[in-house]
Amino acid sequence: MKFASIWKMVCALGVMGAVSTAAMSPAVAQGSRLDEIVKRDKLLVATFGTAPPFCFTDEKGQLVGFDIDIAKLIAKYLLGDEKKIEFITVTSEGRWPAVNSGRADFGIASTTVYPDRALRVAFTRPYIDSGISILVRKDAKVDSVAGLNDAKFTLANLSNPQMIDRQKRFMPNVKVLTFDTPSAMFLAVKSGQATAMQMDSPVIDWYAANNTDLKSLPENLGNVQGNAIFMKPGDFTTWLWLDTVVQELIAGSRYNDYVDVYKKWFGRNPPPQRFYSAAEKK
Amino acid sequence: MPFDFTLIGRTVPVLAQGLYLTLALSALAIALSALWGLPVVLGLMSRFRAVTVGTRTYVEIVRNTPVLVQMYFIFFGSSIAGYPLSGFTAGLIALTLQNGAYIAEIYRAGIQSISKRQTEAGLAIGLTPGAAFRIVILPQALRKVLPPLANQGVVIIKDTALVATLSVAELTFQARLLADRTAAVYEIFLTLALFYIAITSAFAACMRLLEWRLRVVQ
Repeated sequence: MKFASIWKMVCALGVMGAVSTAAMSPAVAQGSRLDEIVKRDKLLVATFGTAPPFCFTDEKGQLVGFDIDIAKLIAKYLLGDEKKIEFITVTSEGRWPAVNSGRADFGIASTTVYPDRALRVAFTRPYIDSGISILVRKDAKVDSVAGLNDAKFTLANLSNPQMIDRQKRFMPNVKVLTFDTPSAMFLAVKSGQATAMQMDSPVIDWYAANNTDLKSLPENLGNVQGNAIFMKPGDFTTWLWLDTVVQELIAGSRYNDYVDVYKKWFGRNPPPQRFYSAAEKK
Repeated sequence: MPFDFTLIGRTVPVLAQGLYLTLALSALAIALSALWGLPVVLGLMSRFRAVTVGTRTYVEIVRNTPVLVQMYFIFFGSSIAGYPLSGFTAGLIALTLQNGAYIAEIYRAGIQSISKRQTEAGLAIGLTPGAAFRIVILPQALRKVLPPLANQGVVIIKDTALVATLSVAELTFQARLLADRTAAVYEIFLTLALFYIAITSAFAACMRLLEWRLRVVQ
């Protein structure tokens, strides 16, 4: 009898899987998500609550950050009001089901574009450059990535495989701890469980600027990368609109909005609209 | 990309890497909680008021706070104090402290469910109070607490998933890494659920067997 009930459960899970297959098939989708958003008159956005300065919770419990401001701009362009937006905070691996299940219209969560991620979600073009930097405790007396590559030190990673790949490539000897939020990584470094952490450069710079006992190493790990907005694949209309908005923000008609938000969170100007000077009237 | 059933087959070997730590942590946490429950129940049923009040305070504190909060507290607190514990140890301590308190309550209910007259009868035939407890009360109480103990064991097994947040590379941890790499969350968490169902079913079956072996044939 016990086993019969277990089999029933297994079968039920199987049915749930089959149902979600049907629901996720693009052929079933009618119209675009964009129409749905306009009809609903509210944008649903998945984001992190713990990744400063992109998307984090301030002392008043409000979600703030660069990503949050970009999402609000998108709400303003689409619905005419930056308040017509609801944020859904998720964990590192919770980003993907948040958009693929339809709970959120799109996600903007300090998210780096990688080819294997692009198999499951559709990315717009990147809205900001990102590298990976290292935040280290000053009392560890480490000044370089090579110096950190030592079994007596511990590196905090975020629970995504790219972190592990980078650590194996640049610091194969260091001990590793893995956490599911940037704030837990930070707490590990601050409390001494870890000597250092790796994370997107703007996040590391922000922590280094706000903590006198911590500093960022001068070198970056690996390549310049792009952070992008992601959504459920298969909806070309919505994707094209979002991608166009990003294009307009970083290099087109809304560049001034982008400059304001960029300066607010990073204290400096974003990259210019064009690499050649002809576009600028001196 | 639709639901990919072949991916389930490919995730099994990766999840299996976390299986050992989940099994080790579950076994240790269940054994230590069952042991730790004994001094706690003695404290709860003590004749000395100070001991009862102290033990009761402990039980209420750990029962009324989330085990995840206790894990964070022990894990990060230990390193702030200068004696950093590993995620595994911190998780094990938190699970033992919390579930030991629950199990002590289970023991207490079991012991109190045996009629006082049984003790009196034992004393009447010349047993010492200690022997009456050991020979008359304990074997009966043990049979009564086995089913709720099995239940608590299943709770412990499921709660071991929380140590994934303390960087312990057990089942859930492996599943989260895999989910983050592939974004195939449904397939992976379905497989993960099947792993837990297998572990808890095996554990429940063992406890049923134990109950059956210890039953009193009437």
